[in-house]
Amino acid sequence: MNTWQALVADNPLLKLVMASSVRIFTRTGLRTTKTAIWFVGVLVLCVTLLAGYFAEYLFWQIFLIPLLLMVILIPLAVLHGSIAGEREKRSIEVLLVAPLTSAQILFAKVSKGVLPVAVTIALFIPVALAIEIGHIWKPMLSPVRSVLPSWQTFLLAMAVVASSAMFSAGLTMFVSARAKTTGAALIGSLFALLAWLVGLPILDVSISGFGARPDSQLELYHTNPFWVVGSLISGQGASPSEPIRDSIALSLALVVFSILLLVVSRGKVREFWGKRDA
Amino acid sequence: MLEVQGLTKSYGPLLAADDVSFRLKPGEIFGFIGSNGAGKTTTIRMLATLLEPDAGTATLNGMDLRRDTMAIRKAIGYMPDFFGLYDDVKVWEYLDFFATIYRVPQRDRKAVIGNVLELVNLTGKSLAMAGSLSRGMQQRLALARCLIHDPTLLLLDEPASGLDPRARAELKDLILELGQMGKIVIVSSHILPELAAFCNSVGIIERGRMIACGAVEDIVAGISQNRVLELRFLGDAPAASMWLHNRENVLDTQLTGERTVRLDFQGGDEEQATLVAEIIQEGYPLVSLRESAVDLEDVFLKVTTGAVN
Repeated sequence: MNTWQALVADNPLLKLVMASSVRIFTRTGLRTTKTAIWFVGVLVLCVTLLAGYFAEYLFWQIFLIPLLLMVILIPLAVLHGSIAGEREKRSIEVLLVAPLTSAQILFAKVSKGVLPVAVTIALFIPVALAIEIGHIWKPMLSPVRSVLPSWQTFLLAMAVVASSAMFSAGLTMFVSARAKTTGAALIGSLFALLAWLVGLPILDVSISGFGARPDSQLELYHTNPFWVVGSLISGQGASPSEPIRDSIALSLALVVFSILLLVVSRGKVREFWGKRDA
Repeated sequence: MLEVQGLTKSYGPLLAADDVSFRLKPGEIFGFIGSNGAGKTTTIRMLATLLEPDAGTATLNGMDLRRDTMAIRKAIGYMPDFFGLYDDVKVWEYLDFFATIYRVPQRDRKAVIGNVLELVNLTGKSLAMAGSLSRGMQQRLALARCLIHDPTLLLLDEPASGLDPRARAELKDLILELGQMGKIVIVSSHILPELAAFCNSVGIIERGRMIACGAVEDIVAGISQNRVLELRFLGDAPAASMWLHNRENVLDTQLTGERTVRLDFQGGDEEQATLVAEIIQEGYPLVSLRESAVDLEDVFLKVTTGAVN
């Protein structure tokens, strides 16, 4: 059996998890569809009307910051209890004696975070289109032409967004696979994400402040997706190609690290605690 | 047929299971007895593929625990002492979830769920939330989950803990029925009289070692070579106990009350009659003498020292 078959085609837990996610969306999600349509509609209208006046920064501020923040936080919210919660409820033992491999369990659990992330990204597409439309009529009112991100920039930004979501999922699963309780997994995951998003840039500033790092070395704040996407959209950098290079490098690094985190987490899925008689 | 050979597991310096071996036939209900920390759960977890043994192995109908792990998992039903249910799903959804995981064909699933619910007497609760069930019902639901894929071997780790007397009686009937269906059932428990009521064979484990194993009658008979006599005196039982302690054929004496002494006696009716005559001759006012029947609890207390890892 190849990896695809083992993880996807012949993984009953994955089918159950996906069916459950779809059910949650159709049951509770569709109940609020009317509200969601109104919300997105008003947002699109506002963005369309304001697009031209805020030039290139609008895309960054209204579209990418919330999107990036959401796709990083959604896996944390959805996945932190996926292994730790089973362990806390003691249902993990029952799952582990089922004819499933650790990889199948882990893959199915990670997939639980995919659907909400995909829906979130999909919901932002109308906003992106609104920005496009806004830029069409704006020059008619103002002589100043705003700078709109190119499709290449947009795709690179989306690559950073998607890989950040993947890394957040990997990091959360890594913590969840090690934690005994859901609470510990949540705190651990939050701490890990903060260390990545805030700790590394602060560390970089500290290192630079002490003059301990030559300029030729990689700056740690380049690992922050907000900074990378910001510099990509604004086109700022030492050279024109630097933001492009940074976003590609960060996306690839995040994907590789996510896979590594999941591979390491796989070995921890089968660990369980809490039995006095062991 | 389940054959367990030399299963050994240690946690650092602690030897939790030491060369555990036994053999069980289809339909056999095996009671696994031991104090807390004796190694019962570790052994059951090794059989359930949750823990990897350091040494030894087990085969279930020719499938090796180490080599054919997936096949073994398909053939076992494991119920931990804590049921580990998902509280926020309905009873049928819970069983459907595990039926899917155990790859019960879609077309058979509804019938299989209906059958196991009927077996555990939960048919009327199929639409109830699992978390809203009483402990006895949750325990039966956990048992239904174990049976959903028609396993050959059932591993029940202290299934009766926390249950009321009625639920225990129902559980006993259910386990007997499973044995009649030809399943091998391993039950660990502290409640020895109940185990004796439905187990064909028992294994007594202490400090990780299997110190007695076999049919209940054989083990009881082995211990019954010594008689347990309960003597009641009118007056000074401690003095009588001291005197009895030094008599021939008396292995051990125990003061069980102000006027009662319990003694382990080795010998036949003739030796017993001689002892009674000697007690009276010595002037100890013997009121009554009763020979106690040896049960599983006596066997357990007799063969174990109470030491734990």
